[in-house]
Amino acid sequence: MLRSRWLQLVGLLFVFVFAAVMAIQQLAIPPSSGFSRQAAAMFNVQLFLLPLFLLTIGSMNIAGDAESGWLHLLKTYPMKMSRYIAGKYMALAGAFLLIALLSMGAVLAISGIAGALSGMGVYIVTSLLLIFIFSALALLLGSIAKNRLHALALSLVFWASWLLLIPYALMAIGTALAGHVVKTFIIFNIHVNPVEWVRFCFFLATGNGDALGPAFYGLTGFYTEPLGVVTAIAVTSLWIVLPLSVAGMVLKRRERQT
Amino acid sequence: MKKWILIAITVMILSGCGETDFTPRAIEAETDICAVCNMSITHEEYAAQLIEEDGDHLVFDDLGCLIEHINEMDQAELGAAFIKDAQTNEWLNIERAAYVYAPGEWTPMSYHVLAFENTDAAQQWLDGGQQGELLALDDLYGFDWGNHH
Amino acid sequence: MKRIVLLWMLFLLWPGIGYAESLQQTIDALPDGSELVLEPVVYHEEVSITKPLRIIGSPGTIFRVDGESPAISIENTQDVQMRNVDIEQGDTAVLIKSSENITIEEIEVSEAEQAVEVHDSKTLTFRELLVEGPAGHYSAKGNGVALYNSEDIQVSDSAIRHMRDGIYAEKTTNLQTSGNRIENSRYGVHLMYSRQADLSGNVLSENVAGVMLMMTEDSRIQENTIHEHTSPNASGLVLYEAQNIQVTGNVINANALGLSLQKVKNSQIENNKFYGNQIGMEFIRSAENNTRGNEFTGNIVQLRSDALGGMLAGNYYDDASLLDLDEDGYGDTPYTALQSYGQWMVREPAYQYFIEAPAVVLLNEMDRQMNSMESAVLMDSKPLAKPPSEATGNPPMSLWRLFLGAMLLAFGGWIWKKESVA
Repeated sequence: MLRSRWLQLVGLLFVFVFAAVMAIQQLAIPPSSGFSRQAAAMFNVQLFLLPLFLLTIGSMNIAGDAESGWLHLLKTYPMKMSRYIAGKYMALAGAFLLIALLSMGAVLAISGIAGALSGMGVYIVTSLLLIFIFSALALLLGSIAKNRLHALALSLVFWASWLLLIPYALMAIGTALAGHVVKTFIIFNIHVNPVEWVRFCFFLATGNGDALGPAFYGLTGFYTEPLGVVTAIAVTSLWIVLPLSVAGMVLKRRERQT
Repeated sequence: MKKWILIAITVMILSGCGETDFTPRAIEAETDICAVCNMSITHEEYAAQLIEEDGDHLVFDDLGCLIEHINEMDQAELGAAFIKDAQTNEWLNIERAAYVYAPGEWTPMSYHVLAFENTDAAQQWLDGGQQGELLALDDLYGFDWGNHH
Repeated sequence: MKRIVLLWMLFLLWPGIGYAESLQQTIDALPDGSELVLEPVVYHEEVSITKPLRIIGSPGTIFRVDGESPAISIENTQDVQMRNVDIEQGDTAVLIKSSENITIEEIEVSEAEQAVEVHDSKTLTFRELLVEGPAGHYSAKGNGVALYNSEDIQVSDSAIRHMRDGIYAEKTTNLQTSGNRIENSRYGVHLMYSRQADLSGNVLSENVAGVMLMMTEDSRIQENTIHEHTSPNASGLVLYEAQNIQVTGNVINANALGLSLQKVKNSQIENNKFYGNQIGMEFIRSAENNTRGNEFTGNIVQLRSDALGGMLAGNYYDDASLLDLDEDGYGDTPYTALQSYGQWMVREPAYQYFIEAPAVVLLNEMDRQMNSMESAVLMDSKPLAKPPSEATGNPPMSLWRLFLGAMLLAFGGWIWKKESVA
């Protein structure tokens, strides 16, 4: 997978973007603890870019296998579908972990020159969450897609909905609905929208749950208790396990059909 | 995606159609602040509460803040409003409570108006040697709140 | 030497509670205006002072009083000084009523429900109080220094922690507080129906609000450091129904909300530094105040307001992209605070959830591009081109981070190369 020219470009892009954001934010803002614009900027770059490239590259890779008949060929080998899925998942996640590592190296080096730095631990945690969850989702989208172009389209639609369209829709309906209904929708969205889930985990992990406002005091309170932490881990695992198993099922059925 | 939209619409319909529940909720000392003056509610025994027609709850630290809010809001949105009983710390519907303006009594925003279950209870409290003036709810809407400018 | 010996003998002669004569009896027997030096012992009795007196403790003089009544009460008197004692437990540590010219200094209060309570008094000085409140939620305890209907009060160089309000003043005139440090309480300084208050050089942190100023007039808040107010509903400063307030030269940093103006009139907000707050400053029904010479740097939402907006002139904003071609020190184009999200937040608190969410970041960017001037309610027509204060220099280079970063890059590159050849 690492041989792909496309992925090498993505790698370069990540290193460059993270280093640039780091340098710009660092020079502009004195570092402060808590939820600062610097922390938010770093995190938003992750939220925008990692899912986008994970979904498109991952899903097109799987769809490409099906399209080119490679998957059909695989059937003739004594190889289980679960191993195929696991292998693809690991290759995709591994490649992006390497990219995340490179970006971190760049950020560290820049911070060494430009000055103070905080939140590296959080950067690692959110990278891991994003990579593991969205690699699984990428395989699912790729297995559903009819061909590579379809996979690309699906990825973009989901990426845009999760990241932008659903929040805008929530903000728009909020102008017409009662506050407590909006709040219910937002809490619902946190659990069914992987981008929001990672974002919520980011606030929990940095101890900045209060930044979400008093309306969510109860929710962040729950997720910082032991039971809540267990629930959070369960929800996160579900986001990884569920897409992978569904992807396996879909591919198996397609195998039988062909 | 379609499924989600379906779920979202279902939730919306369910929450939209349900009868709004006009029972007051408990005060949460950690997060509740007065919707008018922003003070956190540390003296629960003076707190007031308003439930909007759409089911949103607003809390107030002092009866005066509630009245100020009602005076300025769109009356069509007013579902129900409650004030804590000065003696029993229970929620009273403001329509059914009786009021005493007692300048000697401290309240969080110095509005000095206490609420009682009914006129008898208020009168009894006054008869107990307290200084004050018996008021009805309508008096409050146009009341000149003492030192409040 | 003689004095020390005398003190030592007194100490020996003083078996504490068991002694025949109580401290109260000693005080009652003293003539007006005399000085009483207390030994380093623990007193288990409360004391009432009703005449001019100087009471000076020694290191180790402790009042340990249980029950409802105050440990020290000073009533209907004048010219009382008290210095250097510790007060533990109890309901109220020091109660002052209808008195004049009282000085309380170097007093340490711990575990008391309320440290100092003052009613109807005049010309009081509190210096170097050290107040540590009991455990528990702030709604269940009292204030550090609570003032009612009093005037000419000074509270300085004190440290107050874990109380409800650090300093609470109701209907009080001419309160001066300076050099205090107030932390972990509900409000650092809470003013209600007061006049001519002066807050300067205080450090307020980790309260629900640093300064809560309500229905108060003609006051000054200057050169304070107000930081890290981040709990739910927290703010650095809240001014509510106030007029003629000068907020100048404060450093307002890392708060959930830096400064909130609500129904404020004729006030000046000048030369303050707002940096690293989630929301820098908000205007709610406070359109008519001067906001100038302030520095807004690195706040996630720099300014927000209701539809009425606020008056801004000559402030610095780090997110403004300005050109100053005529070199007059001001940007050639006006600065407009991004409003779509800011106004939504004011209207519906649940929207706070979207603070700096990817969708909002994109929305802000669109706002910036379109920037419709007609509808802008928060606009600075003369934004400063440079920050009024010099930046606090970059932190030094960190060689190990540079090295580690380079190592990571090299290592990652090596793996990449190895894997893609294989």
